[in-house]
Amino acid sequence: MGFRKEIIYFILFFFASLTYAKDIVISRNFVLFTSQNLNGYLKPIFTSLNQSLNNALFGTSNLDGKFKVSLNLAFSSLLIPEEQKWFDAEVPEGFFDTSATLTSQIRNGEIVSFLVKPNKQPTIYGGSSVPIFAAPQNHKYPDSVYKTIAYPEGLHLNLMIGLPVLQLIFETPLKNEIRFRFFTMPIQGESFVYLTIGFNQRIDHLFEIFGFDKRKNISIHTAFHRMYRGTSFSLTSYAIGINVSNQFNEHLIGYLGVQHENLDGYFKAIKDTTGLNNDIVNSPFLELREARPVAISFQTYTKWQIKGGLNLLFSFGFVNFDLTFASQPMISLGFGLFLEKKKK
Amino acid sequence: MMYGKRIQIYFVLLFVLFLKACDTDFIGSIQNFRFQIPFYFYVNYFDKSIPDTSQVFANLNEYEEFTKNKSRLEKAEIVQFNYWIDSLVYGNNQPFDPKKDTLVIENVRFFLVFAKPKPNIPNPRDTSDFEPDTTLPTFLLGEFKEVNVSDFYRKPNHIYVISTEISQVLTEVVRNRPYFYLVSEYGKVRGQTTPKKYFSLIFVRFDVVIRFTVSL
Repeated sequence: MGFRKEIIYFILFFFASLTYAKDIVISRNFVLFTSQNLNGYLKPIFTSLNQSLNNALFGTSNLDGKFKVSLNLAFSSLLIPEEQKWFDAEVPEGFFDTSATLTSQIRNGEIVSFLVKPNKQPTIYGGSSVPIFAAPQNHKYPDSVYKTIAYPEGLHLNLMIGLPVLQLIFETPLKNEIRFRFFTMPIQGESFVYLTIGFNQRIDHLFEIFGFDKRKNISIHTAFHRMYRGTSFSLTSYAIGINVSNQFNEHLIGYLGVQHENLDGYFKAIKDTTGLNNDIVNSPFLELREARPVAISFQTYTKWQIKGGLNLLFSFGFVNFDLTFASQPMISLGFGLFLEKKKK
Repeated sequence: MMYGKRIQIYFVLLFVLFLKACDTDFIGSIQNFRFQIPFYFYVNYFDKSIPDTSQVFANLNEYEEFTKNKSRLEKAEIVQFNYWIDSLVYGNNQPFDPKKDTLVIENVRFFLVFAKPKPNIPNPRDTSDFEPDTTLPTFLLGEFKEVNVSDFYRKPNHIYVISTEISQVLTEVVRNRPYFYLVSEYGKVRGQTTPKKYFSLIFVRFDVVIRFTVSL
């Protein structure tokens, strides 16, 4: 009865956020990234985000049909592979026309007097960037704008800490569990909202796969994640998979699972174009000169995760640890506290 | 019971492994953001005679990317430096033709000289408000010998990587006094018999790429 009021508030709050959505406005002199380069630069961090969102979706219980409510906190750490430390960065269009501009750069210690493809530049996890020097071949517009460019650098990271997971787990007598995460905060006067709903259903008993052996378990799990801030930022992610577990004794569960996952979303920001005709943006990139909006779509390298771990049960809660094989290999550590526990 | 204890020990070991995995320079890395910005210097000489020395003044306060991040600046390093000739006209007003003409300058050297505001100037902005800072050393950025002008004519393929020695000094100076001179020193033209050789016009370009590290 009491929950109904909260749900109504939540729905009102959700629609209010959409109705009064305001665009994020950034300075037009933000010329470090074009939309395409920002996309490539950030793709690995969205991979980390997606992997950590889709972490801690199963493995903390044997789903034996006992009603249980737990509070679960999980941390993860992701190993960044070399191939996610660079991306093929965009160059200004005029750089391809040697009658407009000549370019040169240093690659592997050698001066190279042509445009190198792919134009390897660091992602957010990468290292140093490579400036491309450009000499316009005539001094009239538009050729004159094709000048030297440089790129932002990476954070030189081999390891990234994943987004921590704080969730409520409701285990029901139907041998399933629902996982719920929610977070909100204001950003530039607009609410940022994060919501996750996960579902994990035991299925082995339906087919009597293990007979009377209740220690072994096969389940299917799925999760849906949503983050948004007005019309400027939207992210959805999902995972669907199958997991197996075995309760070795009253204190220890081993689990193994595979899941498919994906991420979709966008970030949009408009640039302040006040007085743009009098104050020209100095950049060889057309998008930046014309102060076009920054628009990026979120992508992830990870489509599959294979996860294996151990869960140690106590009377008051649990501790679990798992290893994940994915495009960013991940280790995760979780703690759980039983808030409510009833016998079937 | 023994089995349970062993498992608990394994968990403690795994927890230590987890902490170890997180124990990197991670925190330090995510506190800073590094980006490179090219600074373009257009130096236009009219009635230039060589051998000669001339200088161009740079004030990083005129660049928004710098001023916006100045208060959070951790480090500034000159990464690379490039020099080319954009236009050249002989003393007889004939333009230089890179396909036909052969013109070799014996040597061209570039120095970085830090600047300081002249005394009693409240809001120094313009070149005339500054003077070389003799308390700091002068740094040789690059030296090009036997400069065949055809090879430098609108060709950006003479890139100099700047030593860490200069970069370190720049970091220390640039926070409070982000102004400097790029001094160019031109030697004789090969085969020059007169003390000075005159040119009606020489336009040159310096592109200097500076890496900034700012705290987030």
